[in-house]
Amino acid sequence: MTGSDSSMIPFMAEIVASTPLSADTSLFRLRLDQGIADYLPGQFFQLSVPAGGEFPVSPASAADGGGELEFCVRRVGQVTSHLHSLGPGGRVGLRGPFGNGFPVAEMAGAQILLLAGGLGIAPLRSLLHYILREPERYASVTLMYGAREPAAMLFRDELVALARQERFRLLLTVDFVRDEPVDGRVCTVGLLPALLRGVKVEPAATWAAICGPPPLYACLVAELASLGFADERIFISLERRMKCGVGHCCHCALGQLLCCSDGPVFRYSAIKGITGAI
Amino acid sequence: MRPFLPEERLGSLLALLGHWGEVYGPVTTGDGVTAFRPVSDPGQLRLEYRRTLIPPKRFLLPPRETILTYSPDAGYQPLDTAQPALVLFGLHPCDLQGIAYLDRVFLEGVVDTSYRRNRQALTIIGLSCEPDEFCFCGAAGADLPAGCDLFLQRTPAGFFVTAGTMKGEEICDRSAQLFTLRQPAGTTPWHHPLADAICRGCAAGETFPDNPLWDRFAERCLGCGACSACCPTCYCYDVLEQGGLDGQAAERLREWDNCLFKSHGEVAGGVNFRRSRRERLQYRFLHKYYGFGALRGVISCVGCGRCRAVCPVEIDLAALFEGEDHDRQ
Amino acid sequence: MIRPQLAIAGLTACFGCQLTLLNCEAELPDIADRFNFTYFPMGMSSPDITADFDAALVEGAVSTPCDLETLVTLRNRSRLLIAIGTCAIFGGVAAMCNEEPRSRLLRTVYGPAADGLASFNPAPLERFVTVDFAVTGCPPERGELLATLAALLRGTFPALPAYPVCLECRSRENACLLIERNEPCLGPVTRAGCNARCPAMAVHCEGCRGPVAEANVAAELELLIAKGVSREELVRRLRRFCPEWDYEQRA
Repeated sequence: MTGSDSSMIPFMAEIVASTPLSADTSLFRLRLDQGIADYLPGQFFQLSVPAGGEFPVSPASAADGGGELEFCVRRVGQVTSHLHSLGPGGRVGLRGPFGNGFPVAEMAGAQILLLAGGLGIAPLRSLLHYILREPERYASVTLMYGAREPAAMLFRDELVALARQERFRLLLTVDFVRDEPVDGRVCTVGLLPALLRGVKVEPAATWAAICGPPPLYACLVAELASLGFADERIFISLERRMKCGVGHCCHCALGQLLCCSDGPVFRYSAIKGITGAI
Repeated sequence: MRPFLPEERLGSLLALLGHWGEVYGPVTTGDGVTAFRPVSDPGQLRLEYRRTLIPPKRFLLPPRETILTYSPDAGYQPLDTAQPALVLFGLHPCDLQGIAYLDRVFLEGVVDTSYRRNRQALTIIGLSCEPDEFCFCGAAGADLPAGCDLFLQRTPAGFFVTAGTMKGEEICDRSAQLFTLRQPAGTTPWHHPLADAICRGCAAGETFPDNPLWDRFAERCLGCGACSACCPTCYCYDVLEQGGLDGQAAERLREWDNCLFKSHGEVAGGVNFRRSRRERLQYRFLHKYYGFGALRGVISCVGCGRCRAVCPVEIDLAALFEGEDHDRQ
Repeated sequence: MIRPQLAIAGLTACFGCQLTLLNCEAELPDIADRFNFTYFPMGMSSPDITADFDAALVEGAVSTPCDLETLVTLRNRSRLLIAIGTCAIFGGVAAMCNEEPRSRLLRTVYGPAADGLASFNPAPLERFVTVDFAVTGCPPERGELLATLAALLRGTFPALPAYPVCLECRSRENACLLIERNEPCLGPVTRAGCNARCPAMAVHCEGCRGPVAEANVAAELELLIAKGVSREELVRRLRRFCPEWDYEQRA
């Protein structure tokens, strides 16, 4: 899956399962017609729905040497709605992987703090799965995940099950509660930055990775800074309107950096001074 | 002494260039617009032209093109049509520089196969020019600007000819009987003060965030996109897909996009990363004068003057470097 | 593949939008193959509005109780409602004189018979019902109509141009009527998709496809007023296809 052709021409895959995760979000498991799905957590693909179009999306799974991978997609526009209308057996195209993922080699040995808001859980689930495959290579991993409300929380059961592992600490929070009562043992009510404030971390020995809706970044970065995190130890996965994925179409610049080829995972220190980056 | 093509033999050169493809040169269309069109007779050529409305990028990155087709059996396939060979005659140094820049974008790093096919079909013949009140390139007077197979330095009696590539050498060999030898008169490279101001400003990293011109530009910008459509180094594109009425097949198209349009910075769910016209103009400024991604630090403004000439409301981003508005109203 | 059940209706309009569809002669056999036409008064002899529809394509503005009844019926019976043409989206030509008293307009046209007519100011569909998708144009481009039908087969909508006419006009290498000829061209504020048909024939854009997203209407007016066109004339021109521009809008 490298070289210019696989960058420009989608290779085909089949939907083997689509699992609703919330009212508007499903997990699509795809099987490539040929080859192995090889990618790093945080990298992205361009997913094509034939006759619908393409959109950039990061896998929610970690590469496992096989030909399958998972994408978590919210029904939000024409193309994603089109994808949601396809069931198992549906045909889609993929280009990629593109961009820079999380620097997993650099992260080894340290404590990992994952901060996810809403759909931002997808690339961090990829990173989490990657880490939990060999948990002994990391000192510890903490996932703090905030969703709008209990019904919008994705992968809750899976995450709670994973949290039985010794090295994985899970903290869930929701912005508000409408109908469904929250299980106080696993989930609190409040915003993610507030949750972060009450947690003990060792900033100098920890890598933080953030992914969430645009307004979340500035709050979380400020909170991390006040906890003593250096800008270099914070990684942010950003979303832009990437059309090509290879640095050509120029829709996704932040400052002079292109989200598709210089990102989408950036070290905070690299984008700190850029107006409008977060 | 250098090879010299007397003006009256231009027709013979054009005929000979026909071996390398259909010859397009600058002509005046029925609409009164200067454009690259097929030429067979040197009489049609506007050798003294200033600039075409649309730069030669249209031969490399057409306004709208099908890039892939889809069928359930074959999946996505590149468009398998050979590009007919074209000779672009009479490109000015600014446009040559524009093509050289696009080559860096689309051929270095990940290769854009459609661009490469179009590029390989081209033979490029450059032509020296005289500046007017809109243009400000710094390259006039150079013997051989970048990116052309052959360059013609115009004098009152004809053209000094320089080959820039193997293909150019081949053209020279094949047309040797048309040339005489002449001593070139020394041309004096000239520097436009604006080109100098841009280079100085960019070297200092100036983005003029507090300049009141931004607000004045944003207030009157119509968002028509002409500046970028007519820019030889603007290459933003959008990708769309259209299904066929058979319910099976589909085509993927790409078309020129434009950073002045509202949709350019939008992502799913309605978030727009460039909400205001001011931000869009600043995006354009940053791209033109500072470059994005792999071409960070490369000034892509080639000084052709098109954006200044085609803006209905006389917005000139380069004016930021001079600190004065060119609005003549 | 789904075989959508279609309704195609015309309200207060010239029926040119529906005619555009009928003029797609080469594609009609394909269309007839893949869609069920159940309610299409202009194109069939016994239309049935009591069916359930996958999509209703509606042309025209709403200006009579009868229009409104048809519209509401289609909205209730159809999963998707698609406005086709400028009248259905903006009010269009029918709404050109909406600021004048309706009764006077009616008397001018129908004389004494006007008094018995139930008619109100022509208004776009959106004023009364939820519209799922719109294909603009007076009439719409056949390519855009066909793309919409093709998308309906897959249960989706096509991506249609949302940028101004100028982009298409420039890329066709037309002379700029605003700059070169000083003509009051509405291209910069008008939605593209027509491939700049009029400017390509040296006729300035009349804005028949309606306002582009975030049109800088105020700057366009300033520009044209500076070229010597009166504000009244410009407002009259803009109102021809869309009665409700915001003349102060800049972004």
